Amino acid sequence: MIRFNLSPFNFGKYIKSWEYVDDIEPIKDLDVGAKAIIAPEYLGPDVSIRGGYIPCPPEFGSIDFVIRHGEPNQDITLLARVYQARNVDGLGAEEIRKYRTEYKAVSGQPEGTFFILLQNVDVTKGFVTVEVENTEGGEVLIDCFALMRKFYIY
Amino acid sequence: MSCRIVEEISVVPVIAPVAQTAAGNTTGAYLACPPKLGTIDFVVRSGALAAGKKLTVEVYQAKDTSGTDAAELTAYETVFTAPEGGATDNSVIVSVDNADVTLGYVTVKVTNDAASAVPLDAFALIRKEYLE
Repeated sequence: MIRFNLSPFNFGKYIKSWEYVDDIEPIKDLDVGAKAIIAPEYLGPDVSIRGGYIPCPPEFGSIDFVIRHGEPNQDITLLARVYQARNVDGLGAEEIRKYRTEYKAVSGQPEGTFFILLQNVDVTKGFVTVEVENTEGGEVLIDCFALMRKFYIY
Repeated sequence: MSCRIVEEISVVPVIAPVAQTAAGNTTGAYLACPPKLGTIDFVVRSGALAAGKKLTVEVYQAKDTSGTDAAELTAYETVFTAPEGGATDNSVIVSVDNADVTLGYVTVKVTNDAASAVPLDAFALIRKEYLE
């Protein structure tokens, strides 16, 4: 592989030198963290849990919500909704309808994971969260968190 | 960054969401740790813990997915203690450098000293291009 060293003048437009590189060091730091939304807890039939609101300014780009579940005691259907609000207390909360996601799991399935890939430009009020509802009978343990660039986690 | 995080990073299950028994422990699934992996971030999430109760996360390496010749990497042991008033939503993150995983496979073992069952789960964040 060839590595090009750019000249610092003219904003790096010119190649100052080049060299063969035998190997590339793996990227050590993942630069991604997990921010808690809903703590691991049981979700019974017709019960919904709305997580804590997190700030979501436009410069974040994207937030990937991850919902994990354990083994349900019978077939279940989880309905996940994304809500936006004006502050961490949920002032003026309203659903961002396009992100509503339905997920089904069957009895005996040891665990599962599904995602909601949010575009921050859709969050016009500044704060966002996820609500998960068990719309079909049974009970299941769920967990929800957001994957974000570490730089933005605070 | 123009690509989505889940296009770069895989969320690999280690411990399925489960209600861990009071004062119990759970060892997760062993994950392959190839030489170029760089870093694995193990994330342990738990529900409510009473004040002063602890969640201990230990990292173990082994020769295969069955845990043959398992040995603890003691330098990574991490203890989370719930503060005064308790904690309702807890995350413990342990970043493991693959250079320390000489046997080839790695996992976490989670132990609690709570008086009642603790709902918890664990997963690993790994760069996709290094997954086998």
